[in-house]
Amino acid sequence: MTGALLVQLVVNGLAIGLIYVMVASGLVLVLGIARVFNFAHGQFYMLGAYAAYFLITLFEMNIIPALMIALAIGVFLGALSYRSIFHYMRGDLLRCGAASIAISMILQQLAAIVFKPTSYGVNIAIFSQIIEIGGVTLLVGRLILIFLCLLVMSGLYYLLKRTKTGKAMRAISLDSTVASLLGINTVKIYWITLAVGSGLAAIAGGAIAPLFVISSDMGSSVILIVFMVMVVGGIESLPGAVVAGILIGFLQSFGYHFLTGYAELFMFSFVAVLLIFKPRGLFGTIVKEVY
Amino acid sequence: MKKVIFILLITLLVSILSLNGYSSSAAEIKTINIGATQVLTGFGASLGLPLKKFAEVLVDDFNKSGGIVIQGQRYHFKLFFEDDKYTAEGGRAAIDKMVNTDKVSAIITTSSAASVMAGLDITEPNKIPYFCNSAEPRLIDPKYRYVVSFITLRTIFPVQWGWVAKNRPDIKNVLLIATDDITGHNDVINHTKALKAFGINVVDAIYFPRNATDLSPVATKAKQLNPGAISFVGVFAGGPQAALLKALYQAGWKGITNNAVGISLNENLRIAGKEALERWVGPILDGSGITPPPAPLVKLRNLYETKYGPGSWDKDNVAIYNPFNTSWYFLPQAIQKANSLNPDAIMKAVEGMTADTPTGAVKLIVPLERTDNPRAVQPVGEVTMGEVKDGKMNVLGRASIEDAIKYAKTVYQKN
Repeated sequence: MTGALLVQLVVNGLAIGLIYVMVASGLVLVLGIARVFNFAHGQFYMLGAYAAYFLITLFEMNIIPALMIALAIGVFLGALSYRSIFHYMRGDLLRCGAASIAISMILQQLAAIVFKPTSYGVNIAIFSQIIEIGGVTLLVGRLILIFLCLLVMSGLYYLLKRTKTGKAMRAISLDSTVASLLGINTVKIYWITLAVGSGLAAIAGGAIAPLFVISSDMGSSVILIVFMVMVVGGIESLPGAVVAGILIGFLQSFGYHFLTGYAELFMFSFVAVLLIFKPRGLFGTIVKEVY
Repeated sequence: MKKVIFILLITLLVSILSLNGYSSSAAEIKTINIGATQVLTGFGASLGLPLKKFAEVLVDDFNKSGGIVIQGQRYHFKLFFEDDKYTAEGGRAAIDKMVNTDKVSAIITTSSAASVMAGLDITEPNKIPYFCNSAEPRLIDPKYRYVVSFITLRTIFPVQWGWVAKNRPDIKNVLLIATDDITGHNDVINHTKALKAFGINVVDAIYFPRNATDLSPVATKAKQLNPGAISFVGVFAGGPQAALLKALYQAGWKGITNNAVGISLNENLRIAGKEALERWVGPILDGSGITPPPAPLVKLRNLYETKYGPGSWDKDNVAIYNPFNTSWYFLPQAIQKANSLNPDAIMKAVEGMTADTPTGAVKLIVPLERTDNPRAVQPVGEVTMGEVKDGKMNVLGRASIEDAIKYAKTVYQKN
């Protein structure tokens, strides 16, 4: 393997890995803080991609405001789904899971009906540009995607570490009863968490729009990988999601290149072996009694 | 005298009434129930929903054109459409309902091998002609008496590569990029067989999961192998094809791409962009670039847009699914030729038929892969080859039905 190929595979793996990180982080927040296992998370990702497509292609909007609107849509849908559905069953994983499966199916079928059974793509000139540095072929779009993901994840870090809301979120994830006794409005934090988590999925969907193809079933495809990221990282661990997302991205990039048809077998075997030695994932802790 | 006149009037009245009665009985149109399955929900609905509309348009047109006359009795078709969910369970349930509740006389199926095979336990004992759009090779097993294996795609592989070997000597080796499922693996075998028969080298076969989000690792590998052409295998001509074209372009690939199931030019331009489609070579199945376009294609497009509104043809991306609808052009013809609804007579009538379809003329021949089934037929169609240049499809040449049969024989008789 040449150095140029190595760099190219690393960039490919990092770009898709960071997308998994963004989607998985949202799901980890929602599960860890609001105690909701949201199977519809992938559909928020899909809606973010559609939002970016329509805003950029039909309304000729710049990608940055388009992503902001995609984020806002995700935030709104997350908050709405909490206030109207999950609020009444929070903590009951089975009921939340069943309800979120229903939401995901409704959203996917609605998308197929409204957006027609076809695929969409966003073509932005700067994203399609290829640069060659020392024999390394790099797509500018992929570099922008990496930058965007890092920016969003930094924003999330700031929210969790430096804001009052973030501190409240962390407190609830440690012990919601004590947090409540200390005067934290838990219900408010729960719906904010759903909003932030869903927003992360939606902005990730919007960010991939210029590089990949958009279709109504894209949410179902990504959610399976994201679940794997969560299991590898440790179900409720945010640093775990970051490390595992990038790891899965690299496994995909290198695996499909060197093993092609056996790449998935290798990836799942790797995860299985890892879980034998680390059953709670890389950064996992003991699962809380609430389940 | 008055009595005679009265009797004459009564006789006249009775005659008129009986004549009227006779004519109304002759004008009575009966219906033939026809069943059809497609995947209408979940994964694959993007293929099934346009095909359902496609079938509805063809049946409407068939009925408006007068339907069919069998032994002096006029019939219209009544369509019963069921969702097979692209699964064996879904397919069996759909077939069971159509055969036992809707009492259909014939069924035109989805492309899902699992779904189609699951329905055979019901169609065979009930003697229901089963026009299958699946490329599943087991369908032409001699034990199935009421099956017509209808998909033209299997015979497109030899025609395409035979034409390429003869007319594009610059393509000396081909890399196959296939979906990592039964369809992809089967098609790699079929393509490899055809490529080898015409002396074209297969560089490698790269597999990827059909639901993969990111195809950049596959594209990077493909570019590194630097083949004469890259062919997509088991990939539908819609979004997944565009995803591959886009990924290859993003990886820096500027060579020839191909897909034996054709390309949906407008859709791919919209999704992947003009540059990603440059130098695509393959069969034209949606009629783009062909002047004048095939008459059945023009007619179908007009009928479709009349029913579903202006622009709906392109919006629903119907054209790329043409090869999946060949059977709709043969079923009425087979019933007409049999002049009966007897399933054995319909099955006997099918062999040797030719029909003008939106992809060109198609003939039903005895399968070249399996000559031990006297009842089985396989469609072979004329193929127009094209190349995309500057976002436009240019016709490169045409293989007639005779050429297609010759190319197919080269492949199946060599191996």
